[in-house]
Amino acid sequence: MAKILVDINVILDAVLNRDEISSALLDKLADSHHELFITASMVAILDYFLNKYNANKAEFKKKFFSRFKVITTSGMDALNALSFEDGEDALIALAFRRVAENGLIITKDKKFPSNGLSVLTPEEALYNQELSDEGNETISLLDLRKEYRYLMEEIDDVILRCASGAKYILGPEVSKLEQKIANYIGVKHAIGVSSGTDALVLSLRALAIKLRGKEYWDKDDLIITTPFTFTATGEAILRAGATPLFVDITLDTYNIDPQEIKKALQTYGNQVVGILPVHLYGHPCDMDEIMDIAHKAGIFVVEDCAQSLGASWDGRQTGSFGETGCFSFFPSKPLGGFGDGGMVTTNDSELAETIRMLRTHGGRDKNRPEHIGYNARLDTLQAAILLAKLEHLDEFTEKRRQIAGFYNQNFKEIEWLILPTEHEKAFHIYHQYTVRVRGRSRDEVQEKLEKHGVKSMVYYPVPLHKMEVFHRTSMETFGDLENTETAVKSVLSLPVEPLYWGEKAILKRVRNSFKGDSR
Amino acid sequence: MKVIAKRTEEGYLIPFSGNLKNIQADEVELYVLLIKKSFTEELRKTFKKAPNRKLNLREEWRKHLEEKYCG
Repeated sequence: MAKILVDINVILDAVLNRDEISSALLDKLADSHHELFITASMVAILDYFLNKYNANKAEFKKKFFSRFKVITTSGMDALNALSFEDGEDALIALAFRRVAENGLIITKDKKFPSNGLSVLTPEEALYNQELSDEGNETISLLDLRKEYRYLMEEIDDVILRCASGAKYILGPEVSKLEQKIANYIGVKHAIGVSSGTDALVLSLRALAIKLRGKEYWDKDDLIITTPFTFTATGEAILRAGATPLFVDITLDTYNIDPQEIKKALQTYGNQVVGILPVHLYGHPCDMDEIMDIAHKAGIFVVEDCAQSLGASWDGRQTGSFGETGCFSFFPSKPLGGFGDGGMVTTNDSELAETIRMLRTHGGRDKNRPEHIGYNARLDTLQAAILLAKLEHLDEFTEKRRQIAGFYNQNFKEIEWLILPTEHEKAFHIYHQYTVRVRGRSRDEVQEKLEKHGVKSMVYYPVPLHKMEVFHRTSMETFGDLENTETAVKSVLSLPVEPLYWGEKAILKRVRNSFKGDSR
Repeated sequence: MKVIAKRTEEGYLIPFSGNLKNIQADEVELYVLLIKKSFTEELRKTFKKAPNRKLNLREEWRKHLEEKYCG
């Protein structure tokens, strides 16, 4: 699909009904899967003619910007534009090129300074076969550039405001985001931190301080977790001084198996101080069972919600069950920033206070630290971007769920694929749509998808109990971890970019790349 | 020669007259646009005054800028 800037002369000719070619082209483009743009610098002339013909501007805006995005024209664009003979058009080309390196400009102006971009007249564009094709570019798991373009006006605005506001550390956007996340999850406190990993470390450290009166856990203290996760989960346990006790997963949700937790507790008894369940791929763990087990054993629960913002179990958001919930704002996460970031949620005011201290060098007052702290705050700039994106969180979740529904419907007859399930009490956000390949080589299936231009990923190819870091430092395993071993060899995550939901051709290509080999 | 034609809701093909008037060729290849809903017509519905199709936009804009910025 192309990224197309339509010059204002084409738009006016179409909208003012002056030229049938421009009208037909605009209809064709609006009805296509291409991304359409104007620049902020074009709005003045558009506004003049809207006023001249008494347009209902609110209605026009709603309709027009349902298909067109507005690219910010920056001060630097303006300075650079003055180096061109036609600075006004150069301003457009410079701004557009920043967003679309390989974009196409459609204009009636034959002298348009293309700045290296392709330029077509309306007539050329109308008859251009490539613009009618559905495209065959690589389909990625996520398309963060596309997501940026989708939210461009809001994001550019908050970035510029933050830059001029100059409250770069713990500015008002951080506390606003904390309040919004706390409300969304349904807890008393949310504390912005520098990453999802740090959210885990700070939570575990704060629990050691609260429950043991010590800065760190001891190596003999075991924290039960899953070996089928990203390394950060186990790494956080080590960084908090404790030892991970790896317990097997269930193969229906790939989450930790509560029955295995019970058995592990019988074996390890009081050595176990807590459970760290991971809501993998956005499917919540069985929190009824896990919380019941923890209460009976008198141990804590810290939820790893890195992939599960928006997921719920029996109507309750993940991150609201345990002593803390730990969220990640890594760019690819359900709520992704433009860098690292994280959040701890909790109903425990004492823990919240300790975590706030730990994120700022260990003290309420930076000159009088009480604990071994970190420089682990969430940046104001990240918080501002996340606030803008939070408004679209449920919309994106719904789109991913629709994609999952499409895949479920279209893959159900492929007997060698095991599709993801959704427990009846779960609201799965499909951070990943992960299938399991049965009876054939997962890696060969992945290679074939790649040949069809469909990217896929293995989350995760190496279980934590096979990683050198845990062998060299400290770990325990319970049982043979057979399900984990099965999962690492057979799982495959497919493209689940929410914005693909509007582009059925892409999803059909994913479907066809499987069906071509559904023998 | 290619000529754009639009299919109406009733199924008729309407070649665009602006294209047709200069056609000398005996054979015409129709380029049919299948538009479910016309975006431009939706936008035009927001206008309370019918636009002057013959208006010289460049001249109109130049006059506007002169009035606004040159007093």
